[in-house]
Amino acid sequence: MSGLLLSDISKKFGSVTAVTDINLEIPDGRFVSFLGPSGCGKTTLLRLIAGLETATTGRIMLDNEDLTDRPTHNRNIGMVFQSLALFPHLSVGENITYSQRIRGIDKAARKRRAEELLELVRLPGVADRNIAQLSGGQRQRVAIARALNLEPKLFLLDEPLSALDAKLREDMQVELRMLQERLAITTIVVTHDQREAMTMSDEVVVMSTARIQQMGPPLEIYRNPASAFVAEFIGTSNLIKARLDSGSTCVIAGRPCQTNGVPDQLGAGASVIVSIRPEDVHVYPESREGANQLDGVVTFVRDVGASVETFVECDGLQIIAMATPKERPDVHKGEKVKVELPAESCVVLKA
Amino acid sequence: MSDAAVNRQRDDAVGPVWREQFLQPLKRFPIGLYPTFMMGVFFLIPFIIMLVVSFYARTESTYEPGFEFTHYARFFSPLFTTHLLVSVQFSVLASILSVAAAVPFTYFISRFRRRPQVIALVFLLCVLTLSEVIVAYSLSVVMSRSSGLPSFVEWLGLIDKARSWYPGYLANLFGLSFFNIPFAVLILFPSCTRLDRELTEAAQTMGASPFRSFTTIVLPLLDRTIMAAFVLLFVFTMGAFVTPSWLGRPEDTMMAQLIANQALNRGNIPFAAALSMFFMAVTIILSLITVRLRRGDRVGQT
Repeated sequence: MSGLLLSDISKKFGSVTAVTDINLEIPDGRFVSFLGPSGCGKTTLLRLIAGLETATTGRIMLDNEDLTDRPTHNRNIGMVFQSLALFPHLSVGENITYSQRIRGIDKAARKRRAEELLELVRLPGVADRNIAQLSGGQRQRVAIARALNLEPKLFLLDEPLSALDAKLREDMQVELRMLQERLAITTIVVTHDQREAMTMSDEVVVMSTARIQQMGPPLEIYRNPASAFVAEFIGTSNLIKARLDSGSTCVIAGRPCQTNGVPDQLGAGASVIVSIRPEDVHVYPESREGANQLDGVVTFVRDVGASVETFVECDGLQIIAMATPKERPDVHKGEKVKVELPAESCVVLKA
Repeated sequence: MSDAAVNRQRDDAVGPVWREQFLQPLKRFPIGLYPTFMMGVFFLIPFIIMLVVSFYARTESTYEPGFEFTHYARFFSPLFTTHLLVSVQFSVLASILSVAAAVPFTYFISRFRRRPQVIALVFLLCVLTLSEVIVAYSLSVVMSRSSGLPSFVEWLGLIDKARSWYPGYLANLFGLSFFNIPFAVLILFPSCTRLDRELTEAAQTMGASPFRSFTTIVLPLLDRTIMAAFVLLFVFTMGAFVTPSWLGRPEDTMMAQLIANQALNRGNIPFAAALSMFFMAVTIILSLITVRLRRGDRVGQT
């Protein structure tokens, strides 16, 4: 197989398990995010791939070559560190072409290459500057150019945009993705920002407590979270306690509701959690024809202009519905309403 | 409001201001006086006495007040220049050797986890508590013919006949360097711990072996700290007395020995004072250079 293959990877630091049971296949040219809360092992996994940590068990293969015991400097990877790790004693150009200096390539060729790469990250003409003279966003670009210098087989980024302010970060996400598409280089980004992961990735690997919880294309994970953790972590979700009835019907707040399917191992009567995205929930001021409706009382309306969130209490359960201003339901705090949970949006999860 | 009330109010407002302006500096006064007093008694007064004495005239057995440059003129005599050169040579070599040994050692310690790091430093500080006399004497035992390394090397068959390695040029150099190493480590340690691990890791992802990343990233980043350590140890070694007395040959006599010899054995206090003045001038200049170097410390910048 051409691409990256991790099999049965685990890593322990003393008695602490950083990652365990990792099996992962990343085809050539993909953009993958490792997404999870801090301490979930995502950075350790990236460092294992880079060779900066040694796996306790398992093998790492790249294009059918075994990388497991190969030291970092022989792996041909490009990496952007969280601190960026730009060398303060070298100029921008010298930073970018450090890998060529190590390989004994002459100065003139290095200078040309530095210009080329700075052009690539849209930061031309700064090769002679000092690192300290650059802004945060510019340093980011230099770090990316430096990592891409030798056209590595793997491009690894550890929380690369965390130091930038929100606006710049969003711009860089799009830019990074476009750059990756142009170069078609296998890329792995570690992030705790689900929006960032969804913006950039072909595939998202959601991790928590040292394990992979779910992996797949961002929208698939968003629509079909495999667990309550994933549903909560990727976007916001209504997690509603329910009891499984026959077939794919659940009982929510005393009412039968159709869902989009039930995990195999669950039988009738089991306690489950129904996950539904706020934007899929509809609120109506009066009863309408149709199933999957609950009775509730509006407890709060959060109107932030771009979207309107309606908080409804249905028999002790809080359900949040989100709508665009155009679809804004005509309801107010304290009113009795009907809440519709469309069957195709209700995902049943193990409790 | 009555006048009395107004006055009382004014007093209240004035009170804290008065206290701040007069009472607080008074409270601080003795504290500020203390270092001034100590500097005066233990530094300035001896310094002035030395400065004055260095211009005194030498008589047959003692000295008398005067103002002459005879002693300073002797700096150009072979006695002085020879031993100055010897001192400089030993100091340069001993500083280079000790810094060269301390840099990789300190760097690797700083990469350790907290516990082994503390253990290594405590061990090092234990060495520092030993006086120069004990270190020099122990080394002389180690290098003696009968009980030390020479007979061990003979037993190994590397040499035919063991003989004492001290006093000697190398013995003295080794002693001076050995004594310097803990100081070098202490000077280098803060900068080493501040070196971001990710810098060398980044170098390795770009194809540099751990050794290359050490030479191309770590050493250049530590250059000023290394220079500062070198200068400080140079100054430090220039003042060495016990080690060269014990491990060095007569021709390895260093400046401090020369001053002591002039002052104690020959009774030539003015010349000893002049030597000390020269010595102090050199030390102050080098220390100022060190301060400048440390200010330019590059580690910790991004």
